[in-house]
Amino acid sequence: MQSRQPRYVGIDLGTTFSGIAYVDRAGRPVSVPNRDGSFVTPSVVMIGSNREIKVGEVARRAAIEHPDLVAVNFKRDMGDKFYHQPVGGKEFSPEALSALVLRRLREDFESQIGPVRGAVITVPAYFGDLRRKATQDAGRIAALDVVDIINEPTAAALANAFRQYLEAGGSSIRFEIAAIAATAPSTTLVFDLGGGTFDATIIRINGEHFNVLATGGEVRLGGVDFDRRLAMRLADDFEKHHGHDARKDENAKALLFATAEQVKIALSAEPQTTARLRADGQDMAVPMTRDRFEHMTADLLTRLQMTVEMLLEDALLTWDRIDDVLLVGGASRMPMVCRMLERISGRKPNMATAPEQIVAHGAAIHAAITQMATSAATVTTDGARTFGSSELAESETGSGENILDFFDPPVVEAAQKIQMADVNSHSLGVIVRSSKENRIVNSVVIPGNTPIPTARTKVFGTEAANQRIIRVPVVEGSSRDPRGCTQIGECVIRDLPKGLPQGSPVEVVFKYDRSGRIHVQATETTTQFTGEASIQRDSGFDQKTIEELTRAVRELTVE
Amino acid sequence: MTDSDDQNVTTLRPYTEILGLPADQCPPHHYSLLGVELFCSHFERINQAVRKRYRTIREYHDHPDRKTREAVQDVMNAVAIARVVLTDPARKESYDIELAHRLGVDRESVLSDQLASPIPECQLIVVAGPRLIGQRHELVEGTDFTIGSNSNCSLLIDGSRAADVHATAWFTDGDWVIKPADREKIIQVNGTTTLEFVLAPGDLVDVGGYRLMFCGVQEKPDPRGSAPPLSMIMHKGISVAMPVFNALPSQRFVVGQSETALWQLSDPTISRHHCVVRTVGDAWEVEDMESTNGVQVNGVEVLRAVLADRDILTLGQFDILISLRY
Repeated sequence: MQSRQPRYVGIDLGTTFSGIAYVDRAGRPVSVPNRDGSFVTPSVVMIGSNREIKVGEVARRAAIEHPDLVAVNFKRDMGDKFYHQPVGGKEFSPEALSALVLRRLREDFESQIGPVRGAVITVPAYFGDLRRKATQDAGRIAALDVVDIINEPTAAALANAFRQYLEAGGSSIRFEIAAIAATAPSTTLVFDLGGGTFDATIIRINGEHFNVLATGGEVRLGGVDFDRRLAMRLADDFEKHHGHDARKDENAKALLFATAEQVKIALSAEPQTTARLRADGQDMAVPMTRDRFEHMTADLLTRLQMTVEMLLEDALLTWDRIDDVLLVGGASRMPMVCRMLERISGRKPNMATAPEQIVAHGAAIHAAITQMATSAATVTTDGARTFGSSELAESETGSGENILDFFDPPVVEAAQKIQMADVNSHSLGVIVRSSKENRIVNSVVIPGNTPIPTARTKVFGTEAANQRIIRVPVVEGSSRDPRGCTQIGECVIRDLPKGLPQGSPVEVVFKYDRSGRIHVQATETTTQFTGEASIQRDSGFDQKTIEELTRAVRELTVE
Repeated sequence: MTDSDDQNVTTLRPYTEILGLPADQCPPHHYSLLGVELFCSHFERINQAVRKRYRTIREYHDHPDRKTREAVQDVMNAVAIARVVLTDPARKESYDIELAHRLGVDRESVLSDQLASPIPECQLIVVAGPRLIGQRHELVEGTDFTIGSNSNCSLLIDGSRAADVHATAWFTDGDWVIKPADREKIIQVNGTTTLEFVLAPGDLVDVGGYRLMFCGVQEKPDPRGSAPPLSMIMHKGISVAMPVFNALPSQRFVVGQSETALWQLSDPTISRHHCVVRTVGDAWEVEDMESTNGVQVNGVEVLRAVLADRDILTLGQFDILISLRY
């Protein structure tokens, strides 16, 4: 029975590939193929000279012919004003480019399954506030109702917990969500090496409780960096032999990067392969071995290792407390990654089944849980279901949907029990003058890896006597040096009465709620004058900009 | 939105402006990048320097200026390469030969000129305190080890209870000795206030709200018992200098108003020695030390109780969240 009612979907918006999934009646996450029949869509956009758009595999193939018309890896520029180079002679924001990918995923979904009502989009756990906002904006520009932004490793862990139950012989798929509760408590390190970003997250799963203990990562370290290293080396070889630098010519460069990617993938399966290069009308075959590739990328691998080691240090954990190492993301297929993790952890990592789809699956599960949580359908704990039609009609009037059209009752019952607790990936603080050090510093109020929601208070003193206005810049980052931090807002207390002495107490209260919204309030406690900053993940753009961009994106014709 | 055009952001040069290396040494060779002596072959020291450098540079990875971000990525790679090369004996050997040639020095004479710095045999491990838990600091014979809030200290501790230079440990007559910087500063060893103490493996040193364990490298005693690490997080109450207190098993520490309490809460509703928190087997427990206002766990008055994850411990006007991470 296929419902045509609007659904909630999960979207993995990746640096190199994206995917979309939903949860079926039985509580099983299902990937939806795109129009080319593939479960993953390359996050590549081509913008032609007459403004026609190509998204996905077609655009990816076109990149070699028309590198100047194609945008790739724009997720890396999320949070910047523009993609790092013009596309088709025009500047585009990373949000608008991402919105085009999101729109394509949505269209492919709607042509097969039905309308999309809302979406959960995943981001790397190590994304800061700015990039999360940008991702949310991308969703809005694509006219998606983004109900939540969740972390990729959390999504992967969620989907993996489902799958483990199935593999353990879970007899009835109808009870999949219910089944998570039955598995033994365990602590998993999710190692997610994607195309452009790297996340390492430790998650404890105990019954229906998913608790993220700590998270760390790199927003600029992923599979493409391994490709680039290889591409540079191949270009050196080519230049040595033919005296022509393939990096100088845009087309040859695009071909070079595509070749490097193929070589990297081939080397994951075979100890050696041959790279076939072509530039300046000349061909060259360069033999490449896995050993040589690993030697030239040893520093990148070491960075992955150091990030994991520091994560354990920060979480006060030792390897004997980790039950499972789960590999996610296409780039973790490289044998050296698995070897390194086995060496430092002393156990064999498990490659997630279908690592390219698992994040979208987790997002879909989260979307379904969100949908069920907001639905008022009541299910009693003893399994007897009280779905009187009158009751439903009453409780569902607001949303106009019946949750039982989407899911079987046991699935709803189980999903409503699931609880997830995440941590904040970056420290939050305020910029103040330290009298002790006599310089401007970032004073951290909520340190990274604090379970959220949370609220923290810190008291500071005014800098000078008779101060009439107090500015409290709110920043993200753990560095004591403000130059290492990103400002995300500012609290201003205005019109203070005259004659306040120097060092008057200013109390700063930080609140970080479950949906990632940050609220900061500063109060001069003797006068109770207050300034507030509400830093919302909803948008980095104002409504007008969003509307303009939405219109602009809509006007771009898609083939 | 961040972009260098929009905001008044300046481009940083990571080597000099973040890591503070002298401009004439940039780009630095591996040893200079890590801040270890030339041709250093002490594996542990190199690894420690790598971690320290990497943590420092990593804080700038998200700098609003694109050029800075890219330069920071390069330095992160450089630190990783330094680790790869200097911890692989074969690679280090050929790198050293090449570097000696480049610098025009003789490796043997450089090494013999350096102060005889024997392989350190002792460490101080942070086992309790607001931060830094689990950190190991090597004690190097011939070098004083200073502890305090000044950034030049060998062990940098924060919090209002730490003085600029609070205590110093030094090696003399085959032993490590620790003493406070002056008579104003309080340090305790194994719970007793001391003016000078000869350290033996297993000794616990309390300084400025932190507890350090002294141990030898060879024996590597694992300070972690079977109980999980404990975090006590200020949940409700006035602002205090140390809103979070962490401890590894097996520990026993006092919470109170006293200077000598490891977690000092300066508030009239707290007694001088309010309660003691310790591990018993694989659990943490709290015991009231005949405090005026008593101890409550989840709102229930107790004299002694086992602490569970997410319990709320009430001491005076403070509500403290217990977090146990298995």
